[in-house]
Parts: sequence; C-alpha cells; structure tokens
Amino acid sequence: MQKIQILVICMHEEILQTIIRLINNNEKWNATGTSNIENAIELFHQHTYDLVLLGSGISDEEENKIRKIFSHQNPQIKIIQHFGGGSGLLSNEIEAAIANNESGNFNVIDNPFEK
Amino acid sequence: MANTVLHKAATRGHASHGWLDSYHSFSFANYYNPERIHFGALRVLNDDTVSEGRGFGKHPHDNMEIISIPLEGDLQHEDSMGNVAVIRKGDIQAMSAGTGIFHSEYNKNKEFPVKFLQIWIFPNKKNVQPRYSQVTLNVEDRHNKLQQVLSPNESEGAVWIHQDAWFSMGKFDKDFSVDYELKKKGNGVYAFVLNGDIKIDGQQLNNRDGFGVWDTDKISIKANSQDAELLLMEVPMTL
Repeated sequence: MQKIQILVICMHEEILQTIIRLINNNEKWNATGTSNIENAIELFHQHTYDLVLLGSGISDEEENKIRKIFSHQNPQIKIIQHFGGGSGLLSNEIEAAIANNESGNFNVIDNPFEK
Repeated sequence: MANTVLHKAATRGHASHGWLDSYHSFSFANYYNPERIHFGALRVLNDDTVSEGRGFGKHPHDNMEIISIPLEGDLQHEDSMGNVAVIRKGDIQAMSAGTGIFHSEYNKNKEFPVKFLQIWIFPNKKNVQPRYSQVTLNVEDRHNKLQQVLSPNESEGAVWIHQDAWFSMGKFDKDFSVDYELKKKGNGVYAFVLNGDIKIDGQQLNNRDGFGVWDTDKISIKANSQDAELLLMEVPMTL
C-alpha cells in the first residue's frame, strides 16, 4: 500500500522531530521534515507530497511564499497547520485533510490565521 | 436574529484510554465530526478525567492558546519554560504555545481522579513568545454573578491570552437570572454547563451541554436548578 506522503515544515527542531516521529507511528503515513524554507521548496520540487504541515516560526511572508509555490506546482496540495501536534489535533487534522482532499470537501481549517 | 448551535452532552465524542476518560465537544484525536470542528476561535473543549497518579506526558504545542480549568482534584503542570505548578479547583491556567513549548500535566493525587476542562483557542498572533500563567480565583465571587476568569488584557485580572476572548464562570441559585453582554462585535459565546440545568435564550440546557450563540449582543441566562454552574466562552467567530 502506498503511504500518504507528508512534508512537515517547522522551525522548532525538537517539535519537528516529535511531529515526524508521531506521524511515522502511523504505518499509512510517511513524514519528511525540514526547518529550512528553501530546503522545503527543494524537497517539494523533488518529491510528490499529499499533504504539507506548517508549524511554528514560519513568518507570514514565508508561509505565503510556500503556499504560492506549492499550489502552483500542485493545485491539489493541502497545506495545514499542525499546532505542535503533541496531543489530539495532529492525527485529526491529517485525517480530515486527507478525507477532504479525497471527497473534494474542505471543512478542515486550512489557516486559522488568514485574515 | 441570533444564530445558535446546540451540542447535547451525549452527542460529544468520547474516548476511554483507561487512565484518561475524555469527552470532546469538538473534533479531537480519533473523534472527527465535520460539523464540529470549531466554534469560531474555540477549537477544543475537552472534558477530561485522569486517573490517580496518571497524566499526559511531555508533549509539544505551538501557535495555540491553551486553557485548563480544574473541576475536581489537583493537576501537576511542568513545562519547557521551567514552570512547575499545581492547579486545583478555583484556579485557571493559560499557556500561549507560540513558537513552541513542551509540557506535561499529571494528576498529582494518588488516591483520587482529577477532572478538568482542556480548552484550545486559536491565537490572533502567530509565533509569540511562549508564556505560562495561572491564577487562583475566589469562587465565592461567582455566586449569583458572572465572574470573568479570562480576557485579552493583563489589566483585566485573572488570566489573559492572545485572542479577543473573554471567559466567565457563574454558580447560581435556582431561578436566578442574569444577562451576559458580549464584549466585542463579531464575537459569539459558547456556553458549557458544568452542573445542573440552565436556560439560555429559551434553550434548556443540562449538565455538560454546550450551546453556541452568535450574531447577538447579549444572551439571557436563567438557572433552573440549585447550584447550577456555567462556563461562558466569548470568542471571535471569524478566524
């Protein structure tokens, strides 16, 4: 079975590693992580991802840049916040984003900080 | 004309992990209901019971305002900012996760479970400096009145968070009634019954029911049982 490929971008290295470990605990998911925006863009160009998780430390400008570049390359890509993911929301948000992508619905909150 | 949403207690998500018994008013962990993702900026309302001596081990958060309100027992808090504290009934704890924190929450008591509400609010600013605070409130100050326990402003007392949100708690005698006027235009208020029977704007609510109201300036509250207890969470409806 092909795993859901998830790119995690987070400037907090310890949280990043925790998120990757938690995601990879699910045998249906595979996480790759980086704390470098340019590296994230390079990874996105080189590999196919189903989902992108954004964490702390990413400025609005950087987030806009990521969304613009990633959406241009893959208009279907889902980009969501992970909020640290240590309890509760991580699996829920991933499941919801995947389900919504498959159904064409977008009930999950993509970006609660969007004004 | 006000809009409303009713979440009866029995319709909440439920998870029993042995050491943790948790009811979710909104989608959380393995509970996913697309109709119950959030109420405005209110994303998580968990009604948790943690067994004697057990708890949530060290885990991370970022960019979330996290509020804990103990209802029974003692909750031991430790975090990556070096805070070690115990909160108990009458206290309220607020954390701004911001750029990232790790924390643990354990039942300090080896003989009794701890019951507490875990509430997550989307912040209005990203990547703020992580922050921890807790305040002990005088529970007598909420007898037949609404005691403000959280606000966006440090100057308003109690705890504050990075969001235009106000929380109030009340404990009412039977037939006591009070109006709550919303503090900010565009906000809604989510009422959660902590004990007893309460009517809000004509809607009968019972223990652990949730009732959200928005597009209104005020709500009218009436206690239909003795010692009815209520938590009001006023939050922005647009993110």
